[in-house]
Amino acid sequence: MFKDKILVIEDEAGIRSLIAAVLTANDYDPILSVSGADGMSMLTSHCPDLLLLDLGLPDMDGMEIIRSVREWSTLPIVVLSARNHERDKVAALDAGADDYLTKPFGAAELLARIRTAIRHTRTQLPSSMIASSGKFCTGELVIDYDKHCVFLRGENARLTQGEYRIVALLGKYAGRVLTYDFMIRELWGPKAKSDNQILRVNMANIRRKIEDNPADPRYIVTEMGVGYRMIEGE
Amino acid sequence: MGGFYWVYRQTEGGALWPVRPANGGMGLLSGSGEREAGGLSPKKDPLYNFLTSDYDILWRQDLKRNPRQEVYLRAMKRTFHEWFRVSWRDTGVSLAILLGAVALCAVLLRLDPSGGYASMVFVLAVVCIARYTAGYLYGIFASFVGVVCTNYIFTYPYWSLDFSVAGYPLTFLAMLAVSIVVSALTTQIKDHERLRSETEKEKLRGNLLRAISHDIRTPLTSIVGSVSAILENGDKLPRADCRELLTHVQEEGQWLINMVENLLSITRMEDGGALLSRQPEVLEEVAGSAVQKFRRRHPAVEVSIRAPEEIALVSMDVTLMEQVLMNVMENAVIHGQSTTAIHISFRQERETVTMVIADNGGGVAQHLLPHILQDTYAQFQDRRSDTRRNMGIGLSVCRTIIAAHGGVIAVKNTEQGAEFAITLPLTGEEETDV
Repeated sequence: MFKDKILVIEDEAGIRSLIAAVLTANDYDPILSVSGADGMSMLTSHCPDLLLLDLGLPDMDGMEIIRSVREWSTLPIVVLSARNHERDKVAALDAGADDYLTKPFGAAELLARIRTAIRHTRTQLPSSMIASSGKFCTGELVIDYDKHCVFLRGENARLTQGEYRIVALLGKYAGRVLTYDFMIRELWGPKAKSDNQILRVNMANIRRKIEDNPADPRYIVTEMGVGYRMIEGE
Repeated sequence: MGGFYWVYRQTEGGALWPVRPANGGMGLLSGSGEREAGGLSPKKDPLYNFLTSDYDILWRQDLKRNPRQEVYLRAMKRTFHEWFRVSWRDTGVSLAILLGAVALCAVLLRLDPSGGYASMVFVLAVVCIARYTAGYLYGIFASFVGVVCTNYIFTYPYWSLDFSVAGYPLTFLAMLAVSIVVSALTTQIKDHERLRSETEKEKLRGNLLRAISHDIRTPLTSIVGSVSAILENGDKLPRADCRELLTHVQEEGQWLINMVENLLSITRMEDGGALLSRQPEVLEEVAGSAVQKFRRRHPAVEVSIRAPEEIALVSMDVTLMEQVLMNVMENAVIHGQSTTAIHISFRQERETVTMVIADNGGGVAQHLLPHILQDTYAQFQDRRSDTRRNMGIGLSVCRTIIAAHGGVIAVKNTEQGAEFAITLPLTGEEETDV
């Protein structure tokens, strides 16, 4: 059977072999690279299905790699970064990375992120679902893009115009984490000041309308310090 | 001013690696630019030692916010720099105090035209300047200015410099000498005080480091032991035993990660919390996110959380606040022994919000109640050898973090178990319509 090729650019040997072991055991084909320059040349020669990139490489800034890949490819990129480096994660996501993992991470988390990222480029699931039916469904939540309404268990959740736009945006990119800045730009234009407070308060109100327990959300999860993520549709 | 530039590249561990000199400056260290590929360790690098032992970093600029940022440093020989430091702030302070002295003398001149108090007022100004500026430069400078001002404005002949009147040379020389000596003494006392508080801090830090190293060694020994047992006996070891050893390794590893996360939080808290990045956040969102993270680590514990009716906005550093919640919940599991459920609720007052984290475990031992929320440093200072491992660093970190946010953390035992209450000040809600 054909295996997905995953290029791993990571300078720490321990983590590299851990990732390789987990990936091999789960039917992926890992290609290992120890440095940014090496990784860049592997990228063109192997044409991997996904790039797993450590942001703290010794020879190159991980951001440069993301930017140069994004110039010619939509290859899914998952970045690895340490806790306390929220700003790096946000910058990587804004530069075009698809997802991130915080070190230290577990095998299950790594596989889940890889699966999501690969499936996304293959099928463009949410957008195809939206395009064919005009709706996005997940669990008991339905976003109706034609009627501009959100339904929970068939009932209108009575979101305001602004709240609907936030949910609609998250639904369009379901499964992916959207950074605060990205959302603000999309919702209120490039000149809006990046004040997260309005977004946070709106989100708290949205959760009071669509979640059974607003403090324990099921549909829209918080990625602390980074942004929000709508869980994937079905 | 002299000094030189040097470019350092900072690695993830926080060490500085020399890369190349930029802009020769004094040219003191030029010609050492081939270190780029060398990869010398900062400890072995004579240049680095030289820089940090005898020189002060005058100015530094971080070029990129990423783990391998480049840092421009400008350094200068320590003693000279300390004594004669020039800064906008100190210049401003000196000028303000001198102008104040002139104004005071001008007012007094109306009341008493003799002008005999002018020299005293200026000596007082010199003391103030020496107290509130760094180094000797401004005190000495102010002494001269004081003498000139007194002579020029406030003594006969008015509005002209004249040191030749009978008795003047001695008077003004004495005034100059007194001013300079007083300013030098003030500066010295100030330096001594600073040195003493720094030594004290160093001592506390040393204690903390010792205690932590001790704590870290125990799980590491067990990890290395377990892993080598598996590696060496590979096939002979029954599968179940192997699994048990590995589970143990995972637990100890997780404990070490928590420890390190707490240490990272401590370093962020230093310098009076200057490194905190605070923003208004919705409290329930932060708590909810911590709960979801906690569930992944401890799937066996049932955690419930009830959102408040009203949205509570609190200005906080999310990473640290999440750490607080994780620590309190971890504590409930590890030290509550029989904890199976944790419940988080909120109580909102007019200007504060209180987050209550209650568990159904064994509660906190009565004799420990007053101590578990002590200050980190204090706790490590009077720690005895019989204290249990991990007792406290998590909770004392919580206390420090909450205090830096202007809040209070309290603990009490209830009928069910232990209950932690974290009270934080609310921030005003601004216009939130889209």
